[in-house]
Amino acid sequence: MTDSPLAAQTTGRSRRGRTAIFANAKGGVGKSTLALMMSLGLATRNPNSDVELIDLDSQATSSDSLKRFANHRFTVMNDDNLFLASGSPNNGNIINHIESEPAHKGSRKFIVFDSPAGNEPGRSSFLLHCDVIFVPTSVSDADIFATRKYLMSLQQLFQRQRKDYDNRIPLVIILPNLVDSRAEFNELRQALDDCPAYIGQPLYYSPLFRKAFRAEDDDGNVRALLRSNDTYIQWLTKTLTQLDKLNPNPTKLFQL
Amino acid sequence: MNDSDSDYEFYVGTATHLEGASLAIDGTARIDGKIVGKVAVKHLIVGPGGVVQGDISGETAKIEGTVEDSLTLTGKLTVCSSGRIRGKIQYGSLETMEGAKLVGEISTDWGGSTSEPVVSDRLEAFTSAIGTDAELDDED
Repeated sequence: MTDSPLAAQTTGRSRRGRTAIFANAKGGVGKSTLALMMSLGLATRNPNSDVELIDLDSQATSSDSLKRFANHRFTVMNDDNLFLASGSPNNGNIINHIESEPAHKGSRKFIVFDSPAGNEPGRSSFLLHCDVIFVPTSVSDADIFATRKYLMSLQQLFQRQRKDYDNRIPLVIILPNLVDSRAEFNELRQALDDCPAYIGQPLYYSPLFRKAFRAEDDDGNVRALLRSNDTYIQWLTKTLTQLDKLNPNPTKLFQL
Repeated sequence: MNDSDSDYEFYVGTATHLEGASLAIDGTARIDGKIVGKVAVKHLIVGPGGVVQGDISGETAKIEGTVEDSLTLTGKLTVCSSGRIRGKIQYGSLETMEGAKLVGEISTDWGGSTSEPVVSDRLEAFTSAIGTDAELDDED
């Protein structure tokens, strides 16, 4: 029943654009770095698209850094209205924003959320209005344990959604980050093998990541970051634009 | 308000103050009160006592009251003699009457094809510099 009016209202999948979030309860796994790579990747690879980066992290790392690129087709948002006084996401305002956000005439609109550590799916019903949840993780035990727990929390949220509404749920794509070797990547894949989700291409560690958020006068650091990861960014942005090609309900871990 | 209610898809009366709104209106909106938030509307009318603060986008607008923050229009912007606009203003075409006030960053396309992306800012310079200007594969 994905074509029902309810489905059209409650998922972004029917719209021309896409809404993605980078989320994990664990900090330091690369959410902001990947949100930067996705949003700038989309904006630079497709000049006819509108891209909006929404930073839900009160530290505002990605929004502070990327606002220098803002223009008529690239917007950066870090708005108190998207939070409750408790610091939890203001689901109503975020959902309204996702559902009402128009693209410029003839453009595709991409919304990219960066989220803070500590995100609790049970308190983040707006996640259900995203097309895809990218879950970055490194290969350390601490990150793997936290990621498994986060994926389970997402599944609980999805089960409630399936019960209450007969519509599609967001895709979940695990993004292996800070990977040193193929062997390490395989180890991570094995550790998450029973998770009903997709696992993306590995992003190998580079010292360039350390400088990603500096506002250099000539943007040389960000340029080097995007250039050196061009193949990965191409894969990441294409994955977002071609989500419909993926089975919405994977039963185990699938490699993309 | 001289016109009938049915002329507008959305109307904010003089005694109304609406804050924190995020509205998408497929039609005409008339604001005689105050609205703060994000408004996407085809045609916007801000009445003589009306105030709109926030990010406004749409096709055309007629301003007799006050607009602050950002106003992005693809078509005609009409600013009447009592109209006040302060902030970032982008328009397709412009008509202002004597007495109108526009303060801030005001811009429009500088001739040529409107579908050409404007290479005038940091993102466009950055896009050119990294040389990955290929279009993404379409989703279909």
